[in-house]
Amino acid sequence: MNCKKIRVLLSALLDDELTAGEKELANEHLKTCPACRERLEGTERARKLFSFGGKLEPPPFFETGVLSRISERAPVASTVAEFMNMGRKAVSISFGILFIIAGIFIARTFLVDARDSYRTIENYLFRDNLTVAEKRILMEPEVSQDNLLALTVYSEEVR
Amino acid sequence: MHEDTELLELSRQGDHEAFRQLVIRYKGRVFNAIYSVMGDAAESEDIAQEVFLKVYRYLGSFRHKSSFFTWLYRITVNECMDRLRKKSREKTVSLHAGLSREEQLKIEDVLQDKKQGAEDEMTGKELRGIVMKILGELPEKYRLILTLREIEGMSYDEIAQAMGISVACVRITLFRAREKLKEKIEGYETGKEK
Repeated sequence: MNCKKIRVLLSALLDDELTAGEKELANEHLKTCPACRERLEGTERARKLFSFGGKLEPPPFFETGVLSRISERAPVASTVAEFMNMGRKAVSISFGILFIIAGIFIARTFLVDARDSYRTIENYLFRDNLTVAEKRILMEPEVSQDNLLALTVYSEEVR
Repeated sequence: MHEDTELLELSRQGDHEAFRQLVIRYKGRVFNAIYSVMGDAAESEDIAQEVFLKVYRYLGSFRHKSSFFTWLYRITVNECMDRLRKKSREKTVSLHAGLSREEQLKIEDVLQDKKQGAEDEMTGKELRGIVMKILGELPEKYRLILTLREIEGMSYDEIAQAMGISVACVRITLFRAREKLKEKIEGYETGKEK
């Protein structure tokens, strides 16, 4: 690998952020390239700057300042939580109402009407407005022509 | 001592004391990171407060996909970049007018170990001031990544999450930032400020 490509790896080598393969590649290159070794030393020296100087402390009562600003503005975090709770409740209630409506719809469409609850073929057949002949014809699987004629005559006589 | 997750949960429930503990825990690191980028203490305090206000506002949306620390830094980086973008009408302005001759000599002594205990002769504040001046001459992105790596000690993964870039991008950007930093320092050492 040429020096230009290896330089990025060398920078990451200082931070121990290379894979095992990359580390091996970088170390192998360093053994044979004095220019890259010197570059690496230069980078390490520059980084040394940051180990000095210490850290700056934030001003005193910083956290008090943060909390007063939070109190000045609306408590959005708790408002958001409350809103989410309300949202969940609203969704549950909506589903409940939807269930009830669906139940009513199904009941009206598919369940047997009370007035028709006894609507069976037999009940239909034995309504009073059917003649005997009609009832016989409907009930019996096979009615011969002679029987049919006899039934019709009988019905006429009854009427 | 409560873990971050416990303090977060309590804060979500409106416990201000828990949130105060979180702020105390991280205020130093957030402030220093911002100061390293912005270079002005008053402005850094303002930005740091905004960061924690945003943390409080968006507590409910933190999903623990990363550590709280990384999420906090993501907000910090975004706030810094927003502030810098607002100022970016002026091209990257050096926060200071470069190092004085005396400062250049001091840095040279420290880095080349010319004088024993050279760094002891300077107070932390002096050195910090010099580091800030040098950092201030770098582009914002380089300043930021050097701060996160060299001062905050974040891993490449954490930097990638905080800056919203890939790890490969972190490697390359950090490499370029270091090269630029070296140029600056070498310029001061040889008396040819770049």
